[in-house]
Amino acid sequence: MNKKLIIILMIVLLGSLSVYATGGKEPLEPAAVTDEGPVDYYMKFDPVIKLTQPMTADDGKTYPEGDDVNSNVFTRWCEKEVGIKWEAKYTYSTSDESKQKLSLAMASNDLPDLLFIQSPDIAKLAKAGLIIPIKELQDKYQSPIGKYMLEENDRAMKGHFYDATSYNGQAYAVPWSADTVVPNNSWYRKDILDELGLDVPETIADLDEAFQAYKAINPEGVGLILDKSLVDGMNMIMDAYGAYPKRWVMDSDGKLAYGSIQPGAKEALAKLRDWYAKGYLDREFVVKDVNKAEEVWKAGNALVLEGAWWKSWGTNITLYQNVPTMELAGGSYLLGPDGNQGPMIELFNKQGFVISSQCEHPEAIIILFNHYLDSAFRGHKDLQDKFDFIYPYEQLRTPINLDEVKKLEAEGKVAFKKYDYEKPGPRNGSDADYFNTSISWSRQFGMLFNQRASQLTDQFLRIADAWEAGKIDELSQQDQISYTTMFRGIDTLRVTHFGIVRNGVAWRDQVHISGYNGPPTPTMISGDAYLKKIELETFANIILGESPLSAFDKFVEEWKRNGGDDITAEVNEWYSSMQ
Amino acid sequence: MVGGEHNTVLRIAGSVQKHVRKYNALYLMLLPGVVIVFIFHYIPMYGIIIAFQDYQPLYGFSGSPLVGLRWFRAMMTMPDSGQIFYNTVYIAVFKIIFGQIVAIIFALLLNEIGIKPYKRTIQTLTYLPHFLSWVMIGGIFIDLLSTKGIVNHFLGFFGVESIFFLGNNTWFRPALIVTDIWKGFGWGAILYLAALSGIDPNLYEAAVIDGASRPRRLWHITLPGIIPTIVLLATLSLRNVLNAGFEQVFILYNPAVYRTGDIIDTFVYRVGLLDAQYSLATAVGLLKSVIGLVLIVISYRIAYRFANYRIF
Repeated sequence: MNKKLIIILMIVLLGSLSVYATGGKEPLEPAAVTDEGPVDYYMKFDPVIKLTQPMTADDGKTYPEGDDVNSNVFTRWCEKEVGIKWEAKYTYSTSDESKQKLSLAMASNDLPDLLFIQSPDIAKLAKAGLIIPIKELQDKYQSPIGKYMLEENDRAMKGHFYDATSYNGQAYAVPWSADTVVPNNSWYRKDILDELGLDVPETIADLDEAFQAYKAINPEGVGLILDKSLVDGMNMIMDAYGAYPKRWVMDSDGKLAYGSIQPGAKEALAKLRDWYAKGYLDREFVVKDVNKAEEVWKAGNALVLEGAWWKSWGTNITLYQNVPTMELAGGSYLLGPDGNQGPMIELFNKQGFVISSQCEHPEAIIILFNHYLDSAFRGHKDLQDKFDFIYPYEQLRTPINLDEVKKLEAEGKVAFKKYDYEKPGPRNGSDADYFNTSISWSRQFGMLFNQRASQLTDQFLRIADAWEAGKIDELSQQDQISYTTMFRGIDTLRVTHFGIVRNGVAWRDQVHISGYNGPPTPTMISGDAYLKKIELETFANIILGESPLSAFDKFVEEWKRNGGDDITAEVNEWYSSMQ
Repeated sequence: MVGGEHNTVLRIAGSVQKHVRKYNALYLMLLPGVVIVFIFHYIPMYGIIIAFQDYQPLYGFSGSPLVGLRWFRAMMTMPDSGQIFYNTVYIAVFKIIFGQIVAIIFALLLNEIGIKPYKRTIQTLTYLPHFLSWVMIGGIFIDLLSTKGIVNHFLGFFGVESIFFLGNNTWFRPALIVTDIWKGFGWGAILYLAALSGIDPNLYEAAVIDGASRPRRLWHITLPGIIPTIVLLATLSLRNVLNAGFEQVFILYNPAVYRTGDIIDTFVYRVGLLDAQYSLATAVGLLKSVIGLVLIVISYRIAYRFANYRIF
C-alpha cells in the first residue's frame, strides 16, 4: 500500500509541475506586412481568409430563424464583401470565462488574431511581443476617412490620444474615442439665485456670497453637494485653485507633478473647511456615498451640484419631479483667487483592439476598420464633400413615428425600428438605439466606440442651434428624435444642457489633459492603496475640522516618503519615453 | 511478524468496513456535503500559490513568476499595517466578548418567561435582524446615528450635544460593536436557549423544594448547565478574531474614520479588488487563515484541558 501511494503522489506531483513547463516562451517574429503597390482601402480578400477572435456563445439577443450570434447577416456580409471568415479562437459566456481563456491563450502563446483589451494588458502583451504596433499598418492601409477621424481625435486630445495604448512610444491599439473631451459640469438652482437676486457665480468669491445668501433664506439648505469619495463638488473648487487632485499637472520645471500635493490644494481645503464650519456643506457628507449625498439636491435643498453631464438623465429628472418649479443654469469653470481657471480631464479611453503578432493578414483588420468608419460616418454631411464614400449618404427611408417614440420613451422603453439600407454596412449611423440595423452591434469587435472626437457634442450643438432659431423641424430625423427624448423632454434640463455644451466647446482648446496616461507603475501597484487612503483621510478630516490645516503639510511629506517620490519619478520616465 | 501485522491491518480494515456498512445511510447522507466541501474548499486551495507569485491575470497561474515571500514582507512594512491589525483585533474581540455576554443574558432572561407564545414571538423578532444584510441595515443606521437622527434626538433630552457617531474616530468602533450586537444577539441566543432547555427540570424542582431563590437557582443550576455551551461557542468564535466583519465596516466606514475603522478585510478589498493586486490580497488572506488555524488548535487544547471538553 505504501509503494502505491508513493507512485500516485509522484504522478500527481509531476503532473502539476508540468503546468509550469509552458511559461516563458520566446516572442515570435511578427508576420510580414505584404507590399503590393497602391492599396484598395476597401478591398475584398480573395480567396476568403480566416481570422480568429474570441466569440461569445450567446449575447442575449433574439435572432431571426436559423441565425445566431456567430452566424448572421453580419458574418455573411463580412465574408461576402470583405472576404473575411471569422472563426472563434475560443468561446465564452461570462466575462470571467473570457478572462480565463484569454490567459490560457497567453500562456500557450496562441492569441486570437483580433482582441479587445485594456491599457495595462496592452503594455504587457506589447512587452512580450505578442501584439504588433499599428502605425505602419495604418499608414499603408487606413482609408483617408479613417486617418482624418483619428487625427481629429488626436488633436482633440492634444496629442495624447494614443498615450494609454502605447508601449515604448509606439501605438499598439486604436483607443475608444466616444466624445472624450467632456469635462464635468456644474448646475446651479437658477430659481433660487433669482430669488436672491444673484447671477450665476463665476468666482470663488461669488460662491461665498451665494452660499451666505442662501443660508440666510434656508438655514437647513446645503450649498455644495459633496460626498465621501471627495470627487464631485471638490474638483470644481480644487481646480479653481490650480490643484488638480488625483491628476498629473505640469510644474514649472516641465516635469509632471501630482495634483493633490500642490499648494493650491491646501488653499482649497482651507476654503472648504471654512464652508463646512459655516454649514455650507452637508454636515454628514463624509458618511454619504454619491447617491445618498445627492438626495439633498433632489429634494431641492441645495444650491450647486457638480457632475458628469449625464446626471441630467437621472438625478436632475428626480429633482424636477420633486420640485417642478425648479430651474437650472449651467455653470462655467470657476475663476480662482490666483486667476486660475479651467478644467483638467483624465483620459478615459484606455482600451482598444489589438492585432496578434501571429496574424497572417493584419492588414485585413485595418480594411475591416475602414468599412466600419465609412459606414458609420456616412450620415455626416460635413465629411461628404471631403471624401469618397463607398457607403452613400442616405436619408432614412422608413418614416419614424415621433409620437410612438415619445410614448415608448415615457414607458421607459427604447423604440426600435427596422431599417434596411440600400448598402448595409457594419455601422449605420451613431444611434443604434433608434435605428436597429439588421446587423447585431454585438459583432463590433471593439470597434463600437471608434467615433469622431465630438460626435455627441456636435449633435447637441446642432440641436441647440436649431432650437434657438426655432427650426427644430429642419433637423434630421435622428436629431429630432434625440431632441424629443432628451432628458424626458423637460425643458429646463434641455436648455441648461445647451448652455453647458456651448461652454464646453468654448473651453475646448484650453482643457488640460492629465499628464499621465500609462498603465499603473510598479510603485503605484505596491504603494497606491496606502497613499490614496491617507489622501482621502487627510482631506476629509481637514474639511471636517477634525485635523488642523497643517495636517496637509504632514500629508505631503508622508506621501512623498512612502512611495510618492518614486511614483513621480516613474511617471516622468514614462513621459519622456513618450516624447 | 509480517503475518501478524497483516492480520491486524485486515482486522482494522474489517471493523472499519463493518462500521461503515452499519451506518451506510448516514455516510451516504454525509457524502454530498463532503464532495461539495472538497470541490469548493479543498481544490481551490491550489490558488494559494498566487500569494507567492507576482500574479498577472493575463498570464494566469502558470505564467506568473514566483516571488517567494515578497508580499508578506511588503505587508509588514506597510506604514498602516500595524494600525489595521490593531483595529481588526480590537473590533473583533469586543464584538465577540460583548456579543456573547448580551446573548447569554438575553437567553437567561428569556428562559425565565413562562408564557410560551410570548417567548416564541420575542425570540423570532430578535433573531430576524441576523438575516438582514448590512447593505440594508447599514443605510438605516446611517440615518439613525446621524447628527439629526433619533439617537442624537434622544440624547438631546439629556442635554447631550449631537455626536457624529459614524464620522468620529472616538465613537466609530463602539458604534460598530453596538450595532453588530443588536443585529446578532437574538441569533446568538438560540444555542444558549437550546442548552438551557436541556437542563433537567427535576433539578429545578429539587432546588425549589430546598428553598433556593431565583438567583441561587441561576447560579447553581442554570449557569453550570450551560457552561459547556459557553466554552464551545467561545472556542469556535476564536477563529473570528481577525474577522471584524467586512460587510458592516465597508458599508459604514468613510475617510474620516479610516484611522480607527480600517480593518484587514477593507484594506484587502481596496488593494485586491480596486487596485487588482491579487497577490498581495491573497497573501493577507492566507496569513489570516493560518493565524485562524493556529488559534483554533490552541483554543481546542484549552477547552479540552480546562473544561474536559472534546469538540471532535
